[in-house]
Amino acid sequence: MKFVTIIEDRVYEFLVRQHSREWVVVRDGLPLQTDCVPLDEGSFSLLVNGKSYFIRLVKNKDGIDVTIGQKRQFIRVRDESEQLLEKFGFRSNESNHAGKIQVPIPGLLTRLFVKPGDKVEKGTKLAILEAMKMENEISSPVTGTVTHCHISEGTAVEKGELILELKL
Amino acid sequence: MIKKILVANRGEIAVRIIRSCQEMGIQTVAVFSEADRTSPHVLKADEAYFIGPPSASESYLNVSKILEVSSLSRADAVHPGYGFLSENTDFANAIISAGITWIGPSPDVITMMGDKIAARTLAETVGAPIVPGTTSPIENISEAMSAAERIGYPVLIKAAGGGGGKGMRIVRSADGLSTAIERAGSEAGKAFADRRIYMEKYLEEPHHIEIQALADQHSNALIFGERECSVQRRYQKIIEETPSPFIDDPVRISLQKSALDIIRACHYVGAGTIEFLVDKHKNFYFLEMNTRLQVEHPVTEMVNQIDFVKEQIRIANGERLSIKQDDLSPSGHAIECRIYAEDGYHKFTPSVGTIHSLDIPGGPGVRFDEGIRAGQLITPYYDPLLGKLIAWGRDRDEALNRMIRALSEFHINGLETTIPFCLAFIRQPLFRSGRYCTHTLEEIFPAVISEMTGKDENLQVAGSIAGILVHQNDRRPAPLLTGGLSSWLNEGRKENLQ
Repeated sequence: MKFVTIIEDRVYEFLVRQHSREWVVVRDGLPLQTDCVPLDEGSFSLLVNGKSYFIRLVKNKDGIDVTIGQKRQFIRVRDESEQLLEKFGFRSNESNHAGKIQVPIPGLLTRLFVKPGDKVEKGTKLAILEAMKMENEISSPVTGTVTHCHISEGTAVEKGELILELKL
Repeated sequence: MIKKILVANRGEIAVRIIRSCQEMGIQTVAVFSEADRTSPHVLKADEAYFIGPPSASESYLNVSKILEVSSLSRADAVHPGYGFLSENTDFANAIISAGITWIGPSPDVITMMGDKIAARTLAETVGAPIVPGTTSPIENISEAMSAAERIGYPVLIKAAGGGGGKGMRIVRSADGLSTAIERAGSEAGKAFADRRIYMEKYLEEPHHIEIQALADQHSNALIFGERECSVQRRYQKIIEETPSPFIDDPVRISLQKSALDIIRACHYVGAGTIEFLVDKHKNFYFLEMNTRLQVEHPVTEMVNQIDFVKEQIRIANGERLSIKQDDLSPSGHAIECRIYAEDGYHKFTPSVGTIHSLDIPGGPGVRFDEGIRAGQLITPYYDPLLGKLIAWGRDRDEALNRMIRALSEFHINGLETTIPFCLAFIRQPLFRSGRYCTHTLEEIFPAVISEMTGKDENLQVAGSIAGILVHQNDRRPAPLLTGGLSSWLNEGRKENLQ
């Protein structure tokens, strides 16, 4: 099966096929001897042509954060059918998230500076979240209008909770 | 003689103190909040008592509750660690009134030196230079405005009641002053139950240099070599080393003399640290004194072969210092990286979660002072310091290479940490050459982030292969990754069976 991986502005192509009892990964027509063993949740030992890598891996909604040698890469993987779908315009749901402001870490929402109807610029201070003894400012990633506020001041919040929504 | 010590703290410092006590044959008593029942300090102590809900103000800052446990457990001494109640005079007084030994300086000295304004006044009287600033707390915004005009922008707003970057703000023009004052006051109030703030001149290209001191009850004092603590984010230290690559012998001697003068002037007893700012012309200014053990004390321990916790306990016992100033012969170089539960890729936002697994570095010259274990849930209630990694070498090069090696083999699986950041920072040429100040981190941050990102083709190919494996695994009804055998081989077998 063919795969492409996209890392920043680079694209890698791989052919993955079965050869007797092992999987063979081919890149640029050259087979790579590959042995990948899971160690525990999210970490792997990978040998590629004898070279040893300790890999940590966290899945996100759009791709995978891969850490090797304490260096991080954000990788998107697409197989043939997914590439085909994207080519015909069936994009994965990436664009709807921009206006949703979510809690980055659990804590206490101590201040909320905006209300529905307020216009905000990129960088406008939206709220203050107190966690680990620090007051963390949450600012708007986009320019838009506040449509909903879901959490009021003084509420203890969990990671991922929706604080407010913006219309772009 | 002290036989049982209550450690009024949590995390790595509580573990650190317990370890020294155990080596001295002293019994240890831990206290814990609801969030810490299975934390390492509780597991390692001889006794442990519950003191309240997760919120620090109801547990680790609860003076009456900790006092109650001190009596209940018949502890004959209390070690406060750093942070929490370590610089709280009421707590120290309450402990002493209960007939329990307080491992620290006298409450009077804590009051005087812990209050940054009083400490500056004392430093001035012994001739230690101080940074221009306000001599009394700022009462209101108009006072702040005129003070800032007098001192000259940029100015630094700081909490009078504590350190660690809480309640600290830099203000570059009059526009940002009122917001900064408000936020700093609010943060200071929450962190130290003291809203008072003051203001000082913000020095350009400063180094944060500190001198460790030990003094016994018989007027003997030891002054150690400097620690370079200029790698800071949000005015909080993250990498420290000793000796400083920036400080030469004449400056070192002047700093040590100033520190000794201050120690003598306040009749200090115990372990304490005198902090200075040193500008690029090597002018130095007294900053503040910390009347407690500091987070970064291990680097000084490593080059001096000394255990500060043991010394603190001996001093509290009324014993004389076991070594004299002339006997100190520091050897080699030591560096510490603070491992925080923070995401270095995203502006050091705190990270919470369960530690699935841990690979702690070892080998020659490496020390990890930890407050964590595999399976532990890291909560958002306390300071995010998970532990401190310390490397010693015969010279700076060896210490740095050793730290790079140790960080490379260090994995904390389950949450984001400052390990990738520390590694990338130490690899920066500016750090390697020793030419860095407190502004360096901010200035070279883009280069550090770039170093933290895998750009090498081999890494990207390896990452891609792992990514493809996991991607495929997600799309199949039966999980590929069952552990043990190579998943690729495993899958090959399955296909053959069909």
